[in-house]
Parts: sequence; C-alpha cells; structure tokens
Amino acid sequence: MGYTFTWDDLEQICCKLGMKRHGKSSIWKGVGPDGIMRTTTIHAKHKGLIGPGLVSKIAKEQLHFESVEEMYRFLKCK
Amino acid sequence: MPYLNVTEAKNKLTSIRREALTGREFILADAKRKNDPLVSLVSTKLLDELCEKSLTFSFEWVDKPTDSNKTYSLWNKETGIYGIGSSEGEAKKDFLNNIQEYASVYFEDLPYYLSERNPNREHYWYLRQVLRCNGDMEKLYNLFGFKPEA
Repeated sequence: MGYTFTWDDLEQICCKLGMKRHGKSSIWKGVGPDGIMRTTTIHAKHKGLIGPGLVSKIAKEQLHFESVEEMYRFLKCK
Repeated sequence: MPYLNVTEAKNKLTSIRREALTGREFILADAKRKNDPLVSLVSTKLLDELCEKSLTFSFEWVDKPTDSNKTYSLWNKETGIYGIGSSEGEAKKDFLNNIQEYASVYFEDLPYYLSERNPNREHYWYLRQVLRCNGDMEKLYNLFGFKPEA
C-alpha cells in the first residue's frame, strides 16, 4: 500500500518527535523521546506531496523509522 | 611528533606556523586542563587534500516525474541531504542551498552534531568541504561533480 505525505505532515511528525526548527533556517533537529538525535530539512517553499522515493529516504535515514508505514502510523496515532 | 603546551606554543606561534606549512603537525596540550583532548595544529592544505582524496559525494535520483508525482528528488548518500525541483537542474540548485544551510547549522552547533550518539557525526568532514568552498558556486559544482548549467 502506498502512503502519501505532505510537507505539512512532515512538520507535524518532526514536532511529535521533539524536533524544532533551528532559528530561521529550514533545518529541523532534536532528540526524540527514544533518545535518537535527528535532523531533517523542511522548506517553507516546498508545497504539496513529497515524492515517494524521498519519503522513504526521509523516513528511514533522517527520522530513523523502520519503514514508511511506521512513520504513517506514528503520524496518525494521537 | 612534537608536543607543546599552550604557553610554549603562544610564544613560538610564528615559527610553529611556518613549520606546519612544511607539513609538520604540532600537538597542543593545556597543562591546566589535563583531561582535555589534544588539539593539532596542521596545514590546512594537507587537511584539504586528505578530504578531497578520501571523501567523495554520491547521488541518487530517488524521484522522477510520473503521473502522480511532478518532482525530481536528488538524494546525497553521505549526508542525507536532498534537493527537489521541477527539473534536474532545479533539484541540484535546491540541493546546493540545502547542503550549505545544513553545513552552516552543523558548525554553529558542533556539540550537538559531534555528540558520540549523534548518527550525523560522520557528516563532519563532508560538510567541512562544503564550508571550504565559501559559497563559491563554481567550487561547489566541482565538489559535487555537477556540470554547470549553460
């Protein structure tokens, strides 16, 4: 099943992971409740859906989820 | 390899610098802070050469336009930095902006990024190469192996 994410979704995920935007930059970073130190880039100019290939890289390599599906569940869980 | 304490190094800085230019590395210790790690004074050119020879950037096009996706996404394997755009050239430019911004944030917050448990610790030497370009687009295009646009 294909999961889609917008840049706003990604921002929400970062907030839930305890990450914060570094000043006025596009870099988000922080230490999650699991103790993992994460960094990602979110541009205000980027709108709409994130490409599926990039979603997979961001999920696994920047945000350290096991899979895109796990990141989707994390976003949807209250 | 010569070990010097800070006071001695301060007094001989001009001659130490001159010798470092020839390739000698000086290791500085602070007698007042015995548990501090050591610091090396070494030729910048040699450090640049070390980085150039041992570190290369590699890329992957993780997205290309399809019916449901309109963007190109370029992914750098070594730093996990990406660029997106409606053309390959635009994605490369976006990547150049993103990596410069990341390098600047990284070096502003070294205690965070160089923490032993930060997985991005290994980005240090790659980002040092980006900073050494000092915003010069020609040098950045060369560093990443991008062909400048006509």
